[in-house]
Amino acid sequence: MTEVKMENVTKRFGDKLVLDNININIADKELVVFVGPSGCGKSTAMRCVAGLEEITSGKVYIGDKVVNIMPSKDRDIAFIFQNYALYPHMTVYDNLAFGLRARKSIVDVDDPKAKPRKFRPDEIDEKVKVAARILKIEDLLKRKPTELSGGQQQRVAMGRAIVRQPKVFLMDEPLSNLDAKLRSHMRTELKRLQIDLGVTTIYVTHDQAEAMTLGDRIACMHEGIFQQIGTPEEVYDKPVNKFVAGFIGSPSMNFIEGKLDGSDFVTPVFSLNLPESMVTSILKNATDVNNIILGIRPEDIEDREFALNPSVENIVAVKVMVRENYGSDIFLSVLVDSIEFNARVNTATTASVDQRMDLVFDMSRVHIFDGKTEKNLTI
Amino acid sequence: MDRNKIQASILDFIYIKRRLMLFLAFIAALVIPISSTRLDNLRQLTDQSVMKWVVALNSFYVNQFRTFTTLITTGVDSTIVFFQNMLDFYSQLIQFNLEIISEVGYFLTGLYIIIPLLIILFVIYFIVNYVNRSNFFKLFSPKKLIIILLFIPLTVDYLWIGTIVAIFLACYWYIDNLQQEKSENTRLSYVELISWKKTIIFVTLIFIFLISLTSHFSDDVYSITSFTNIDPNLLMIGIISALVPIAVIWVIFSSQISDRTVLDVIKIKYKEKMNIKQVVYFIFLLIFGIPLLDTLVLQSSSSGITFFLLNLPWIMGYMIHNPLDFSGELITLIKDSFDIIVNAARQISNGMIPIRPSDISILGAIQPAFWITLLLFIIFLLLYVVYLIMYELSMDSLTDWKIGLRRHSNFLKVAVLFFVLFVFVYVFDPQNYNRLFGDSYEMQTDSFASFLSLGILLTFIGVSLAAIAWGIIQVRQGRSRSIIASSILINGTAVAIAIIMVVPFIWMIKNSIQTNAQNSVDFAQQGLIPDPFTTRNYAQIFGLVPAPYETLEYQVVTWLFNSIVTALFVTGFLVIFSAMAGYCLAKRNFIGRKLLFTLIIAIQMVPPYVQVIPLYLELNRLGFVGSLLGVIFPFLIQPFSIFLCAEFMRGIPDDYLDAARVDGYSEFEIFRKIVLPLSIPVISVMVIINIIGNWNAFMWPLLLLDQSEFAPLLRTLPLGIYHINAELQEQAGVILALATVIVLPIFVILFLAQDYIKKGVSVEGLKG
Repeated sequence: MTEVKMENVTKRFGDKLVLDNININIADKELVVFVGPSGCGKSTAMRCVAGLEEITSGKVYIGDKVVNIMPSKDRDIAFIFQNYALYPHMTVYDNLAFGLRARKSIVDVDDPKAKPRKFRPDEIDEKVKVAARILKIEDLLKRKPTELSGGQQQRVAMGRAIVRQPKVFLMDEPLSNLDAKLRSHMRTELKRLQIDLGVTTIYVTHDQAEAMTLGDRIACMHEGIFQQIGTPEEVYDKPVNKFVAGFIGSPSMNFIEGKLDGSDFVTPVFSLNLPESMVTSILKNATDVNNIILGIRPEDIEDREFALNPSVENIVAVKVMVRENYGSDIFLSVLVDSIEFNARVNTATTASVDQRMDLVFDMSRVHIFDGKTEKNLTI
Repeated sequence: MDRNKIQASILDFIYIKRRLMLFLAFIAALVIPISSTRLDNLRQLTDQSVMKWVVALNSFYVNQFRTFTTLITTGVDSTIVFFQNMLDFYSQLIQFNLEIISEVGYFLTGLYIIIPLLIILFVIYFIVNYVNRSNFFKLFSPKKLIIILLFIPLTVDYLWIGTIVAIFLACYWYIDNLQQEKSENTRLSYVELISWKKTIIFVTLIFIFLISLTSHFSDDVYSITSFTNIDPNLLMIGIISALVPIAVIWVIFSSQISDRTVLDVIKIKYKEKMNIKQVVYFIFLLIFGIPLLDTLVLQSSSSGITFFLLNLPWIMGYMIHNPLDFSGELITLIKDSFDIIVNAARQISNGMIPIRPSDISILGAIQPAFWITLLLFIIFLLLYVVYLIMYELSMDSLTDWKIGLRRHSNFLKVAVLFFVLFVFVYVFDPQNYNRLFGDSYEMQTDSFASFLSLGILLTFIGVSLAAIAWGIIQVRQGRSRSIIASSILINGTAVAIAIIMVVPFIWMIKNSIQTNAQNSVDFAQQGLIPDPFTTRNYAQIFGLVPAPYETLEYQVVTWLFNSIVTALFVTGFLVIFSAMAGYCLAKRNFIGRKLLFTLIIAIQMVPPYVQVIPLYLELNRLGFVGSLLGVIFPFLIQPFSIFLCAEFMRGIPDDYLDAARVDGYSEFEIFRKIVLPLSIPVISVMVIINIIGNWNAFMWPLLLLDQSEFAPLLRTLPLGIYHINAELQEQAGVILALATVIVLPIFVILFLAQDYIKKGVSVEGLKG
């Protein structure tokens, strides 16, 4: 049972505030992804859990212990680095065994009187072999890291983490050095491995796709604050603010500035009719109804010919600027006067560049954000 | 159990208990060379020295006992007086006589009030924590009781009682331990339980018991202080007062490198180390361990560390009162002990054994047999490696004997180390030179100098023609004419320069094996191959044949030794210091890092010749002039090396260090296991540059070593050749032989380290 908890954690580098009073509870065996743009403090947050950075104030718990000043070696964690940090002067075997050779730990778990001791060479050998078998790198053990491919190095780095059987895995963008195809493959393996081993895991990435596919929960971070913590569905369907809405999802959400006029969302060039429930919550929550932002994902905009419920109130006439064919979808970048946005439409569309066409907005999937606070007004 | 099984288990035993085997083998190797005469000697020694040694122990305890009793009685007396006064105080206080407070003073009043409270608190604390759980009594396991019992009997009369009880306890503990482990680890074979550590402890204990027992009958005092001429007190002052600043530095250092406050570090370390168990052990160690060390190592009868400990307040006062004087004493101590060590090593290198066998000591008895022991042990190690490999091959855990050789390379390393030690000592024994060189001999052949000259000319023409022909072929195959021409030109020039560079060395080696008559002939007339040739020059510099002039002092072995000592000491420490400093400057954050780094760069700007006079004056005041230490000491830290290391280590990714930190390695282990191996390119450059630089150093040795009365003994090789050069005008062969001897090690180093030098040059090119 290992829960990780951060309580009012603040971290400063000199005058610079990197983590601003963040709170998160990570349950046992859960995989939580810290996601955010670079420089948002997600790596720092994880390094604080690892003990590689000391926090300025607040408390970090691993299990039920406060680990604020505990050295990282005593926290029983394993850290996977972006560049794997495999020691080039050691063989793969030695790299795997490195963590085991260091510490004294209670090896004989069954014996209540057992004293901490170092692993014997034969025990180390056994553990390394087991880890190598799990990761299918048994035949690489005698090689040096420089003789391995990127994927193999990644596996060795994983092996170095699992061989110690730690309470918590901390992974700092472990897949970002791999090419796209290998990355998705390793992503699947990593997820399966985490489920098999049942180890609490924190995973840091700037890639929202990785976050969506891997995480049991996603902690979306910006400017040193967790903007939203929730399951991938929650974060995708109910983003709490404009940042989360814009960051999660690819291509990102379209934002159109406008104002509320009756039950219509009005821009200088077109207006859209909002559902009744949305209008009431906007009126209730908005600081200024004349300054609101409509957010809609490209997949919720469809060509009129293929739309399910076209009506006068949710149709916008646009001019196509760019047409990108992805095979499964067609992405259109379109322009209405000065407002530009993206749409994902059916592949059968006849739209071509510079042509005029009508697009249908799925108004039930629309989000409205406050223009000032950028908070989501519709949830 | 059938016979095969027993056989197999014995083979297993030999394979598994490697360190035990080594230990036993070493004991055996120590014992085997003892012939009957040596046995007699040894018996005599056990009659004399061990007993004397032991008596020292005894008289030490007697003295210690006396001191302690005096201390305790006076302590008890004053405590009783104190408490009587306290009772008076309270009785007066109960009678509301408040004037008593001003009578005894506010300080004592405070004490009188606080002390009873403290005592009550302590009793409660003790009862709550230890009596209930009886942890306190569990501290005394049989092993610890043995040690305590062994040292508690303070006088001769009671020592043997304690010893006998201790022997019983030790046997009990050893057997009990084995049985316990056997019952705990049933799956392990019985032989695996006989741990080498325990056996060593057991054997050592028995050894000490025997000494203690015999001590009962002995009566004289033996001291090694007369031999080393070091006052043990001074030595202890040095060690212990060095510990304090080291501890302070260590705490600050570890706080800096772990980005924690000093207080946090102390807190963490306190939690790690300071449970009641450790404290009790520490106190026992202090009380019983130090006198033991004192007696066994220093063999000073009644003073030593305990004396020092008792005088600690006075020493502190001395330190504060007159730090200059104190540090002067310390430096003298360092210098003296270094000189003693160097002298002893120098004697060994000259084939002499510094401790005379007539010395009444165990060491003296073993010394004559030591070299035989060494050889036997080397042979054992080699055989054992063969056995291990054969065993593994037969158990199918090994496919190739080469892998086995690598796996057991530790044994081989030890063997090689011992062998080098043996060869060094054996070869440098002057008596063996005659066997190596023999009398100088001469080989008579006809002169073919003219043929050789022709040969050189023809070779030159031939090579040139071949180069042209190669060029023409290349051009016909379609390569660019200008590229081929320039490559021939460049390579040709390089070869020509190389030949010009190498010829003086060849000339040096050639003339060093010619007679003086040959050397006095004009260079062009001599021919390329020395004819006849002689090794007399070498024999002469090593003192194997009498020198032509009696005034000459050839001490080449000593000089060689001095050169090796200076070069190795400076390089070794320099590399260690620079790597450590570089690591901190590159990878750790601490206050003043940038300033420090700037200073280090700034120091490089100071030309070395500016430093000569101040440094000389400084060293003179420290008393290092006329000591090898003067040549070593100032060069242990060099800004350029630190700078080089720091710049290189900055390139090592931080993630490596973080990963190891998470894995549980301490900061020093990270440095040793990760940073150091990754910095081998830059370290090898430093090693090579510094070895060469110090080997060839001339100015400082000339300034510091040549003036003293022991100058001939202190010279390094370059100084030596300088003097021989001055004294021996017409003996060119001898001088060149010496020059060859000087250059040879550098050649060997360069030859072995070619790759590293190439790498290093590129490192320097990139960073410096």
